[in-house]
Amino acid sequence: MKPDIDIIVKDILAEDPELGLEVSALRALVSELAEKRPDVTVDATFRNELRTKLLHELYVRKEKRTRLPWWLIYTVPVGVTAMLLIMVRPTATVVPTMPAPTSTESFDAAPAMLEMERGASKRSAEMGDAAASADASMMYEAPAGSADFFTAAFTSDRMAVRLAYVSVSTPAFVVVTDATGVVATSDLLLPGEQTNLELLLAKAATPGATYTATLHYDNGDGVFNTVDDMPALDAAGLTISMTLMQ
Amino acid sequence: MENEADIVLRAQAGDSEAVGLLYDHYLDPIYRFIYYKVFSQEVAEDLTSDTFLKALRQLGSYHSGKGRFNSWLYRIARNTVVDYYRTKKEHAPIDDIFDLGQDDRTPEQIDTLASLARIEEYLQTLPARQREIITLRVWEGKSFAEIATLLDGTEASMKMAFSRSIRELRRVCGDSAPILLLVLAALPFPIYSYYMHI
Repeated sequence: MKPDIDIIVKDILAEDPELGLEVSALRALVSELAEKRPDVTVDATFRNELRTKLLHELYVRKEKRTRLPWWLIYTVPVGVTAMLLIMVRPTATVVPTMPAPTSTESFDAAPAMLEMERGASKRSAEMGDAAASADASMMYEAPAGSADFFTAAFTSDRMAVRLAYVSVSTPAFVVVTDATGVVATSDLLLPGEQTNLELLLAKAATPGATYTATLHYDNGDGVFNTVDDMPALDAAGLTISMTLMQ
Repeated sequence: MENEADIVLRAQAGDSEAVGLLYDHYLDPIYRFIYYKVFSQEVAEDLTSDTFLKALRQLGSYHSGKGRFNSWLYRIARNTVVDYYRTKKEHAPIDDIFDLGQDDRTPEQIDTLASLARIEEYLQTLPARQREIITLRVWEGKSFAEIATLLDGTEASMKMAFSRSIRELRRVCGDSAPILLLVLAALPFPIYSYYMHI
């Protein structure tokens, strides 16, 4: 940029008026000084090379910024694999199962529990309170992902269904149905394990017909009814039932 | 440079186009700024290259609250030149620093420096800041406001320092003053860098 000599001289005089006595000499000095300015031009090759170097540096820096740290490169795949394994693992195995109480414990605890449940149901009915009803229903709602289990089969004369083994965590019933509806219902099964129970049928099972035994949780009144005593669900959300073989 | 603040922000975000714009705008003035201190094309190119690479690496640390971008960039250039001379002769006494950089000079520059002995006494009294103000004002044509920004001073102090330099030049050298100033400009940078804190 070529400087304006007049402005430079004017600036000098503004700061130092005494130099005004020799303005011409001052102007000559500044002019000559300006003319002695070295002619400096940037070499074109250098210009291009430095530009290339800068852009390369910028690229490398961006690459470094976007690259994962070495420890993440190894830990991320391991973490993702672990997550996938957890997700695809059979859900029944990851849901903690409720420990089955011993038969002694279950029978000791059962009357108190049943009394409490019945009390709640009675209170709900008396109050006619929706909230109380909700509390009661929650109290008797089947545990999500229940691990309750039973085995059932017809007796040889097909007049009854034998429950060889039952394990429930909350009061329940085993209900046998055919195409017409309920054909047999167990007594209230208290929490714990029970074996060799028999459900008598009103008439012998019809050969060729399909019969299903299903576990239902009691709603707290100790009496089975198809509306309030909902089928028990296992951890997969499926009804705990079995088709009876003849 | 229009929208320089926006361009700097883009460059800080890694925008190569913005980096290119800043480079194109500042390469020539920064190169001249350095050249006037080293008077060697090769050295000026090396130091200019270092300056821009440092600026790129430190770009993230710049923010407008610290001052204008060009002031920040010139400061990097000045420090780069200072480092160059310090590295070249780290433990040299001030008197020996006159010899620095002579190997890089062309014959023309050596002729110009033939009168170095004549001005040595004057150099002892000339503050480095005044010399830098003269080259920026007369050769680079920068306003005092710009010089004040670059050198971290006030516009009034830049004007005052410039006038004092000219007066001193007139008093000491008389009619040969322009040649003297040219020689001054050709002297290695550390001569005056030791007189001031840059």
